[in-house]
This record gives sequence, structure tokens and C-alpha cells, in this order.
Amino acid sequence: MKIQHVIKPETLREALIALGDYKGESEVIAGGTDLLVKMREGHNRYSTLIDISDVPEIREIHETEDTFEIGAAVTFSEIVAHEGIKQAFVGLWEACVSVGAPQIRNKGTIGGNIANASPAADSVPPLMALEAVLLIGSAIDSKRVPLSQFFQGKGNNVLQPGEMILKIILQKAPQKHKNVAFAKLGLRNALAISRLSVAMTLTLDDNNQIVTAAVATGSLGLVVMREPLIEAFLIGRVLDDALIEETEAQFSEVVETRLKGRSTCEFKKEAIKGITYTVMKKWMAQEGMTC
Amino acid sequence: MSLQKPFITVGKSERRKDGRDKLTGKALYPQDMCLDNMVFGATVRSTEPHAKFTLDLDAAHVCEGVLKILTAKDVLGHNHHGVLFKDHEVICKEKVRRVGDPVAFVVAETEEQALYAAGQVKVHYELLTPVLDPEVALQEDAPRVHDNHSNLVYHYKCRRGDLKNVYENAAVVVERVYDTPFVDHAFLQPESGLAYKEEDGTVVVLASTQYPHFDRMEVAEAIGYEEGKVVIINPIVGGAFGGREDLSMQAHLALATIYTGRPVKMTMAREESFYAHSKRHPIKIKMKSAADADGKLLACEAEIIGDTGAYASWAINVLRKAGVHVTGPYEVPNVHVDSRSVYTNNPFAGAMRGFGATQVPVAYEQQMDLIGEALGLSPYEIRKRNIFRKGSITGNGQVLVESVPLERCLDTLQEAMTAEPMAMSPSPDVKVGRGIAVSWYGTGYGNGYPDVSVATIELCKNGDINLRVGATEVGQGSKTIMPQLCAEALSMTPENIHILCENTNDFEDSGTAAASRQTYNTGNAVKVATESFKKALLEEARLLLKLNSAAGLVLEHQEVYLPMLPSKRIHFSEVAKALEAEGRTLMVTESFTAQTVGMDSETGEGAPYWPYTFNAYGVEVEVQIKTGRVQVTKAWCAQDVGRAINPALVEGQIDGGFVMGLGYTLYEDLGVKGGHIQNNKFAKYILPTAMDIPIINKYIIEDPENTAPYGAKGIGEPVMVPVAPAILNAIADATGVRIYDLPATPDRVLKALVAHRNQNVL
Amino acid sequence: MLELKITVNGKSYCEQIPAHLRLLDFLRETLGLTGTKEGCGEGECGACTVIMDGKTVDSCLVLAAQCQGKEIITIEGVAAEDGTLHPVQEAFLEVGAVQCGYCIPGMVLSAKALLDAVPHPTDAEIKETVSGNLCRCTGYDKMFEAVKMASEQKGAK
Repeated sequence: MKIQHVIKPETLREALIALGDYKGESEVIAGGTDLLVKMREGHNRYSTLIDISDVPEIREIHETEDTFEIGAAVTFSEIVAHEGIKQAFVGLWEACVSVGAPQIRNKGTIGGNIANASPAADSVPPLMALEAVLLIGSAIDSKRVPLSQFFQGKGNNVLQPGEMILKIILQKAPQKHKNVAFAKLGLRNALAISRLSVAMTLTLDDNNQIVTAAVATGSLGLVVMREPLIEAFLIGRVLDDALIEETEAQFSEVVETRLKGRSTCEFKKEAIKGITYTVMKKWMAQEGMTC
Repeated sequence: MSLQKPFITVGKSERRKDGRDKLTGKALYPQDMCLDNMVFGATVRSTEPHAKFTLDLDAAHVCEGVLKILTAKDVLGHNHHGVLFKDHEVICKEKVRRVGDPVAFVVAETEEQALYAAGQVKVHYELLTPVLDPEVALQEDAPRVHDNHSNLVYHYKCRRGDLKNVYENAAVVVERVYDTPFVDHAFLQPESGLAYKEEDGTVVVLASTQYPHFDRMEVAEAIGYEEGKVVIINPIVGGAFGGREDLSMQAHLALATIYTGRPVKMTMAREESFYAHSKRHPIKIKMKSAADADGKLLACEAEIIGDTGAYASWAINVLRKAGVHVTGPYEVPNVHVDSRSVYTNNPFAGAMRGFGATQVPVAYEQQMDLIGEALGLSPYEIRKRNIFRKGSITGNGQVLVESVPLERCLDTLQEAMTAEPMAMSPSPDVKVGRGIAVSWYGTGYGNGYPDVSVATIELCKNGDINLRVGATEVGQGSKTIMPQLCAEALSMTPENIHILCENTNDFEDSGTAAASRQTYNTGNAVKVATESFKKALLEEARLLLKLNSAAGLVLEHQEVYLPMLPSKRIHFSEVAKALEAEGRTLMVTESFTAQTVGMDSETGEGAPYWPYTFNAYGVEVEVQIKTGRVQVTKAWCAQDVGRAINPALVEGQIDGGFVMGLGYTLYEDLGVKGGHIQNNKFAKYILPTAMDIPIINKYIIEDPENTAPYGAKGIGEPVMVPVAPAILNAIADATGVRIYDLPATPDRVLKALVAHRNQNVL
Repeated sequence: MLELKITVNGKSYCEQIPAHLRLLDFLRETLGLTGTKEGCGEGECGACTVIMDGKTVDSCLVLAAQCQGKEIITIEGVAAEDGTLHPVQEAFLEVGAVQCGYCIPGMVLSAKALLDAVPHPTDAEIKETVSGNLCRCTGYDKMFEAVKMASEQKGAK
């Protein structure tokens, strides 16, 4: 659809009012790196755009004692440049590094990556494994929605007309041995669309027994999703090389069941083993564990 | 032995003549140009691979801004074009043979209007059964792609020696099947062009091309004009690699400007560009090789089938080149090769860097490793026992009389790779390996076809030189190389040589910028013409200097002088002025024709190409065995060049050829399905990025070729040829698993690894 | 139509533009700055790279209307006004990193943006910086050499 109007609010309040005024006839543009591709193909939905890319309130990364709040219009380059994020969430940082190429990271935003609801979105699996919560706002109110409840099938999400994502809230690790690791299989080293990705956070007790596990995958279904079967399998087990091998086999079964009948099944049920291996090894290396 | 005079410019990495404009954004490609009163064109293309059709133009005609909708009946001349056979229609009349065939051309006031109206043209198809597999296409009852021609376009045969009893007596016989996909040139500048009419009625078409004179002939024929009334201007070309040899929109634009009386422009989106030009032939190679216990090759038997899609383009030359080169650069006493090109309803295939010689080493160089493995000989050793040396005889019975530095290439490669120990595996799931490949490439059109280049040298008033030559600059550097060759012969610097190679009115036909033939063929014409020019110039100088003889006269800094009496000196500009006073100019035209001999159609005996260029490349790879992902980490390229006219440009070719070869091996596949190109955008057609390339160590091997200008051979294509087999051999070295089909994507490699593991378990 | 205030290569413009206009079209068609190239229209090739407020962007993926008050540098604004080449351009010419030239404007801008931010980049940083600029001719190797050379020259100043 041809764009007729671009509204460029200068404050969050203006942006939310514009969203309310053009409810049902507008969509939000931030970095534009996905939306302009859709426009080229004629797949964008509305002729009015509300450009939030310069709204200051959602352009910041705010660190509190126990959270990071990332504004929806923060770019991947800004996340990559943020030392605090890199320290706290290596896997998220790596996922952001792996997005497209510098030009894309300089414009593309984390909020856009989420709202776009692509199963191949690089930043979403680590955010989901970190149990991120989204702050969603409208001209009237705001609410918190866990990221795991945000998607409604490929390209769809729970946002109502007039609403947008304001912030992504991440809890800092409450204890030691909780970090996120990320691994992705792309076809090349830059500009690589994810063919498969896994993000994992674990907490261990003093005997390296897994106490909690959050595992999320990309490009294995219509949306990025948590993998409860794998999480259940991991909890209570001791993290070592033998467990990695068993997890590979478990994951392979999960993938085979899910993708049965699809042309990608044969490859992905095998390749998931490699990505599982990499992500678990990375997790251990990040925690200084060697085995 | 006489001491060679040092060169003035040959062998120097002179800066590119077109570099500055390209670096500052001043270089104008067709899409960057506009004219007053300009209108825009858009092509309506077939969405079916094989169908009869009718058009309903009513809705399109009433669209805003539409000036004209061209259909087949509007083609004023012959409704055909094509480089070998005239089997393309300029605009299809009633039948389409591939997805992407042009069925109408809409002209409107704005680009947006033209594109919109093109979308409103309704095409009603009556579907015909498409034939999409070349082997099926060869069957008796297969649907015909062209009514007046069988689906078999060409059959090359080579019969040398006798295969009888060879296999029984061999120590090792290796038989495998290899397959390569449709891939694209993916030059970065999508097709764009502009046409307009001069006041005298001349039609001017401005579009990036590899061969302006051929385009002129084809456009003239399509619009029913005399060639003299058509001018082709070839501005800056944003890469070509063979993809700009066939006409794309040139004839459409010419017709559109005739009908509307206004300048017409069109620029393709990337998605359309993928449908507009030719592809690399997918080639399937069944190959059987035999060797004795010492590793000496006894036989090469190959059956090659190439899918040329809906149109022949260069199919004959490509499958001929594949057939000749499939022996590899090896002495083989018994050769039995059949190479066929076949019509299907797939995208049409034509020229692409290497021209058939790029596909076959995927087979012959893996065969060599397999033979070596069976006999316990290293990849270097098995090759050394068989490679061409000076005096070797090819499978076609051609004697390689000189410049065959393949052994030097191989030795250089071995020394360099041995000096650098193989990297340790960074992780248990990563296997490291190395592979090598050697290759050969015969320059030129070949097979006795008169391969002619023409150059004209002209003295300018200010003493500079105009070099008029049809050496199309597609990025390879001919605008820089040709002046260097001319400058060398006149003992001057290339800065004051002005090359005119863009407008068909400015120079004579020198053939196409393809087949790695420009430096050798056109370079020879430039050298011969410059030498004649020099002779004439010296004679004029002698007269003006009032000397009895031209003996001992020397050229330096655009002056002619007599070293024994240096005051006898005259600048080129003074010669020019003196000539002008007499109403004369100094202009010399000469040509060069390459020497090749056509092959016997039954035995293949002949001397199909000359000269041949050789190389030996090696790589180190890392294979992630749990995902099948391959990364090339190091490369070594020992490249025969005859002589490097401009080493920086030679290195640039090696780098570029290597990376295109890397893409071919690991990433690139058009995903042709049902005649449709599934990967017709850069998000899906995976090209190597700056982060995917290894360290590329380059070794320029010089062995001047007697018949070449200063000894220089063509290298534009050879640099790509050994890359794929070197990488595939390295994957096999790392993992024990051999990949026979390109590209070696994670899917394909992982599947092979899993099958291998399962086999070992059983 | 809407009014766009923007600075391009140091010059301020105030233009009436349609809402759907891409930055790429604004530069090429409205301002006639055709040095910025279109190769794919979907942010994959980087031929349309320009620098916006110090950062590289694919101008095919930016709406001109989003660029209110922004400062843009295109290839036309890289060399000095007297024609003296920028160190990156000079180095590209010297090492022979140019072939067909279509990717070159974007490539030069990516390199310039890097050197403006990081005067002495590592090899890995150089590779990453041009990883969003596809080149089909050069195989990238000479480009790395050129950026390295330019960084050394800049450092010497």
C-alpha cells in the first residue's frame, strides 16, 4: 500500500496520541528495515505511518538495581555498544551483533524485531530465554506482557490498534550461574538470516545440577518459542558433556516431531544437534566451566 | 642472450583510468542518466514456463500516462535475436518458452505509471506441458521447446585412442556423477538503458553491454534499420561476467523511442534482473577415469549434459568448452567425451565466467583426488605425474607448444602450503582440511571461428594519442590495460593515451569482452597497430627533422630524437601541427586474428583454443560436522598469467574470481523449480560477504606467451575455475565425505556426513 | 506532500516531498546526487549506503520523511571541495580496489564512517564494517588493504 502520510512525533505522548487518533489506519515505523521491504513488495497494511524512531523516551537503555529497561526504538548498534548489556547478557549481545550488517543494525530496533513477529528474529530467542517482559502502551494506559505471550502466529502479535511496545524489561540475574547463551546457524557470516537458533539460560546449584532452565528457539515454527520439553529434560540433571549429548538427541526428537512432513525436517533435526552443542558449550564457557 | 630493456609501464600497477570517477560518484551508469522529455518503459513478462497466450490490453491502455504498449506486431524489423541462433523473440508473439519471456512493453510518462500499467496487462495462457529436465527433453516423445528445432542443441564428440581393454588392465578405475546448479552473475548494477532519436533519424541506445557492435547489429535488425542508423553507447558497466552478452531491453527501448518520438528509459529491479539475463548452465557430468599402478592416467570417459533452458545463447560454445576441458590439464592417451546442450523450459543459460570450463573441474579434479587416494599418492603427486608440460598433447590432439607453466604453479602452491602448517581444530565439532585443484582454460571464441580484434591509433593535436578500440570496460580494467600496451610501444606514459571504447561510432568491432580474450586478442591488435603507428610517426619525424634515415631515432616523453645529436628532436605535437598544415592526420588501424583450428565433428581432433592459461589453487577449510557449515579459512592461488601487464589488476581478478568461486561452491543456487527462479532476490540468492572470505595468498606466475602482447594471457575466467574443486577436495580431506553436487550447503554436507556416519556404524 | 528539512553534504535543503519517497530516491532524483546506487532495494547489497548522523544506513530502507533535521553524507560529499580525495578514496585508487565501481560509493562511505569513529581499526573491524556492502568483482581483499592504508595515513597526520 502506498504511503500517504508520515507522522513524526517528538515525544512519547505525541506518539501515543497519534496512535490513538489513527487507530486502525496506521502502523508504527521505527528503523524501517523490515517495513520498507514489505512496502516494496506491497505487503504493508496502512497508508499512514507513525515514525517513532526519534522519540527520546524510548531511545534509551536504562539500568536499575535489578533490571535493564531497553527502549523499543533502541537500535541494535546501540545495544552492541552497551557495555552493561554485554556484561549481563552475552547471548543477547551476540544475537544483536549477528543481525544483518552494520547498516541494518544502525537502523533496526529491538522493538521492531519483536513486533515484526518473525520466527527468524535474532534478538527474540535470547530475550525469551531471559523471560523478558514488554511494557506496552497506548494513549490511555499501559500494561506489562511477558514476551512469551506476545506472539500470535507468524507476523502477528497481541498489540491492539493504538498500542505499541514501549520498553523491554529484563531482570538481572538474581544469582550466580544464570546467563544467556545464544547460537545461530546462518548461511554466511554477515547478512545471514537465521535458519536455526537457540538461546538458553540455566541456573545451577553448587553441584552443577540444573535448577532452572529457559530454552527458546528461532526458525523452528511459526514464531520464536520456549521449548518446555527440553527445559523439563534439563532440570535436575548435572551439566556435563554427557548431558550435552543427551540434550542433542532430545532436541532432535522435538524438532522431528514438530517439523514432520516438511522439507526442512531432515536437515533441521540433525542441525539442531550442532546448535545445541554450541549453545551449551558457550554457556559453560561463559560461566568459566570447562569440561 | 640480449638483455631485455626494462618496461616503461608494462608490469606496473598503474592506477585505473576510471578509478577516480568511480570513487567520487561521478561515474554515470545508465540509471544515473536522464534526458529532457524522457518517458519510461516496463516489461510484461511471462509467468508460465511453456504456454500459448493472448493479451488483453484494455485495462492497461486506459491507465494514466500510458503512451504505447508494444507487442509482437509492433516489432518493425525481424522479431528475433540471439548470439548463436536467432531463437529469442524480441517480444513473444503467441508462445512463451520460459518464465520471464517478454510479452509486452509498456511506455508511460513516469516510471511508476509504466510499472502500474504493466501490471494491468492481462495475459491469458493456454498451458503447454513444459519440459524441465534436460535428460527428459532428449527423449523422443518430449515436448519441443522450439517447433523448428529438436531439443538437442549441440553434441560435441571427442574420440582419442581406444577404451577397449583399458579398464580391465587399469590399477584403478573411478566412476562418479557430478552435478552443478543454475547460478547467476549477480553483477551489482541491474540492467538499465536509455534510447533516443537523433535529429537525423539515428537511433541511439545507451545500455551496459559486453559487445556494443553486436548489439548494434541486433537492434538494427529488430527495428528494421540499417546498422549505420543505429548507435550503441556503452557507458560505465557495473559488472557483467557474461550476463550482458545477450540483449536485454535494448531493442525494446529502440522501438519505444521510434513509436513515441521521445527518449525512453527503463531500469530493472533486482528481481526482474534475475529473469532478464542468462544463467550459468547447470551441467551434469558422468565421468569414468582410469590410471595404472604408477598413477599415470589411462582413460577419461565423460558424458556431459548441459541445460540451456529456453534459448541457446552460447550453449554450443559453453558445452564445447566443457567437453574440451573435461580431461583436465592432463595427458590422457584414451579420451571419449560426449557433451550435449539441450533446450528446456527453464531460464535460459549462456555465458558466465569460465564458460563451461568452470563446471567440469568439479568432476575432473575430484576424480584426481579419488585416484590418488586409491593409489596412496598425495594430491600433489598424482597431479605431477599427469599434468601438461611444454610439448604435451591434449585430448584433441593439440600440441602445447609453449607457455605451459603448470608445473611451476603446482610447485609454487605446494611450497607455499607446506610452509604453513594446517591450523588446529578450534573445537571438537570442527574438522579442518585442505584441498588443491589445478585447471586449464583455453582463451577465445575458439574452434577456428575468426576471432578478430581491431585497433586504431590516432595522433592528437597536442601530441597525445587517441586509442580507438572496442575493448569494453566491464570492470576488469581494459580501459587501463589497453593504454598501457599502447604506451609501452610508444615509450610514453599511459596518462596521455586516451581510450575511446564506449560509442560504436568511435571504433571498429573488436568482438566481445568475454572468453578472457580482450587482453590477448584486442591487446595484440593494439600492439600491432601501435607498432605500425610508430613506424609512420618516425617517418614523419624523419622528414621534419630533415634526416636521411629513421635509423637510431628514439621515442621518449612524446618526443622523437636522435641520441647521437640530441638537438635533433621533435615533440609529437609538432608532428601533429605540421601534418595539420598539410591537411593530414596520422591514424593507423590494424587488426589481429587469433590462431585456432576447428575440430573434427566426429573425433574432436583440432586445435580449438590458444593460448591456454593454467593455475593451481589450494584452500584450507573448517567444517562444522554437526551442522554441515563450511568456512574457507585460507587460500593460496598460483596463477599463470603469461605476463602481468598490471599486477594490481591481476591480483584483483584473482581475488574476485576466488570469491565468485567460493559463492558457487558453498552458497549460490537460483532454486529453479517449475521453471521459476525461487531465489530471485539478494535476501535469498546468497553471495559471499566480506566476512566470509579467507586470507587469499596470491602468486603470479609469469611465463610470457610468444604470440601474446608482451606475453600476457587472459585471466578473467581462469581465476574462478579451480576454486570449487579445491574446496570440495578440502571438505573431503577434513571429513572423509565427498560432495558431488553444488552448492555444498549445510543441508547437503550434513546429509552426506550423516549418511557416512550411519554407514560406518553398520 | 510534506516538507523535509535536511542537510546533505553540509548544505541545507527544504523540499516538498511525497510521503512514500525513499531517502535513496530523494538523493538521486530530487537532489540529483546519483553517486548513491541502488542494487537490490531491500537492504542486502549496501550500494545505497549513506552516512546519517555519523552512522551508515541503507538509504533504500529509510523514508525521506523520517529524515527531518538529519545530516546526510553521500559519496559526493566525501572528497574535499577542491577535488582532493579523502584518504579512503586515495587508498582505494592506490591499491587498485576498484573494478566495476557500482559498490564503491557505499563501500567508501562504510569505510569512512568506521575511520571517523575508530581511527585505527583492527582487521576484524574492517571486515565487519564492509560486511553490509556486497561486491561481486573485487573479492574484498584489496578493499581491506585500502582501508588499512587509509587508517595508517590518517594516523600519520
